[in-house]
Amino acid sequence: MIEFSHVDKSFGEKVVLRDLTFRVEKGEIFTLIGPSGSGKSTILRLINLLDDPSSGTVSFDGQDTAVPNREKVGMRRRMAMVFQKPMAIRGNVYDNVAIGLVFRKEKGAGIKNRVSEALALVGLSGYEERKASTLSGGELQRVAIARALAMNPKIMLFDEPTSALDPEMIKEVLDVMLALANEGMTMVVVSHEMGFARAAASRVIFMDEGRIVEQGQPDQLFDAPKEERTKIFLSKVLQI
Amino acid sequence: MNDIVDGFVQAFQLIVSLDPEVLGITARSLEISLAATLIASLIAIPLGGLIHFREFGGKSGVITVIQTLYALPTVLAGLLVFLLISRAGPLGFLGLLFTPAGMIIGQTVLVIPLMIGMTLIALSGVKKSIRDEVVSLGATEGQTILTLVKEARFAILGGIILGFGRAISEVGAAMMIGGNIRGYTRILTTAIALETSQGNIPLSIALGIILLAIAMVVTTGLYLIQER
Repeated sequence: MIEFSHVDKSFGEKVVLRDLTFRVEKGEIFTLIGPSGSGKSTILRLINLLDDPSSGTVSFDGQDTAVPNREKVGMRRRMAMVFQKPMAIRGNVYDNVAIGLVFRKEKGAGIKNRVSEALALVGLSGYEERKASTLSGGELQRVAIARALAMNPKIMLFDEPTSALDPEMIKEVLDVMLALANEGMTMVVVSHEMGFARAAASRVIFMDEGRIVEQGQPDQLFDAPKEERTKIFLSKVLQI
Repeated sequence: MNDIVDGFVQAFQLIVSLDPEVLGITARSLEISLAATLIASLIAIPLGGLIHFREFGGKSGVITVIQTLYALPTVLAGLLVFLLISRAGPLGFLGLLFTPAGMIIGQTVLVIPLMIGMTLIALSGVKKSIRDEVVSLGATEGQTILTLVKEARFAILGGIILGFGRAISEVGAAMMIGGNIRGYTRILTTAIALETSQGNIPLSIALGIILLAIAMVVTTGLYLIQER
C-alpha cells in the first residue's frame, strides 16, 4: 500500500531521513518508535503528501506521490492523519467531525449519518452540539480520530496521538486505536506508547538519526533486540 | 476664539436639525467608502490568501512592496486612477471621471494593499498545525484558504475596518477623481476642504464632527473585535 524507495529528506542543511526503503502492506499496523528527531513524524508527513522527499520515491497504492497538487488532494482523500495536537476549528463537535466530508462535497444527510457513526466508534455519541472549545484533550483527540474515520480512509496515520495528553486521557485514545487495529484498519503509528506497540503492532520499526536501525515483530524487537542502539533505547524507555 | 465657538454651536444646529446638505454628503461618503471597502475585501482577502499559501520566487519582495503601499499617498492613488479613467486613458470610454463610481475605484486602489497586508498578518497568526491538518483532510487550495480565513476572521475583519477608515478619511483621490461636484461627488473630506477655504467654518466643523464620529465608531468596532 505504501512504499518508500531510497528516500532522503532534508530541511535546509538538516538531514532528517537517509536512504529509507520499506513497504507497508494492507492491514498492517506499522509502528515507528525511536528518539525525538529521528525522522518518524517526517515519514508520516511524506506519506500524507504534506512534504515531498528530497530524493527517492514514495508510492501510495502503486502510484508515485510526486504529482501535481490537484492529484495530491485526491490521494490525501484516501488516507487520514491524526496529529499530535488535535485541531479544533471554531464551532461544535459536528462541524469538527464533518469538515473532511464537507471538503469532499458530500451531501447533508450522508454527512450527518457518517458523523454519528464515527462519533459512536470513538465513544462520543451525542456530543454533536458540544462546543469543541469545551472538550478535554482526550475528547478532542477522539474527535480528531472520528474526523479521520468519517472519511472512510484506506489507511490511518497517527503521529504520537497521546503524547500531548494527560495520563488519564491516554487510555481512552489508545483503546480506540486498539479497536481500530482489531478491525483490520491499515495504520502507520508513531508512538512512544510501547504498550500499544507491543499489543497492536504487526511490525515495529526502530529509527535513529533518519535511518531504520532495526525492525521486526513486537515480541522479537522488544524481547530480543539485535542492535546495540535499539537495546540502549529500549532499556531507557521501558524503565520509565 | 468666538468664531470657533460660534462655529461649533452652528455645527450642532446643522447636525441636530438634520440639514439636508450635511446628511446628503454623509450618506454619499458612507456609500462610496463602504462600496470601495467591499470591493477591496473581495479582491484583497483571496489575494492575501494566495500570497500567504503559495511559495513563489520573489514572495518576500512582493510582500515588501505591499507593505510599502500601505503608505501610498492618496493623491498618488488619485493620479493613477485619474490617468486610467480620464478621457485619454485606457478606460476613458467608460466615462467614470468625476463620478461616484470613479471615486469608488480610487478608494479601492488605495485600500487594497493595506487589506492584503492585514490578511497576510491575520493568516500568519493561524497555527501552522491547523493549516497542515486542513490540507491533510483533503482540502483543495481554495478550501484551505477559505477555512483558514474563517479561523482568522476576527483579525481579517479588523483589517477590513482599518481599510474602511483609510477610505473614508482620504481626500486627495476623492478630490482628483470626483471633482467635488456638489450633490454628486462631494463627500465629507472634500467638502471640509472646500468649505474651509470658502470661510464656511460652521459647515466644516459639522462635517468634521461627523467624520470624527464615524472614525470613533470604526475604532470602537476594531477594539471590540480585537477583544474577542
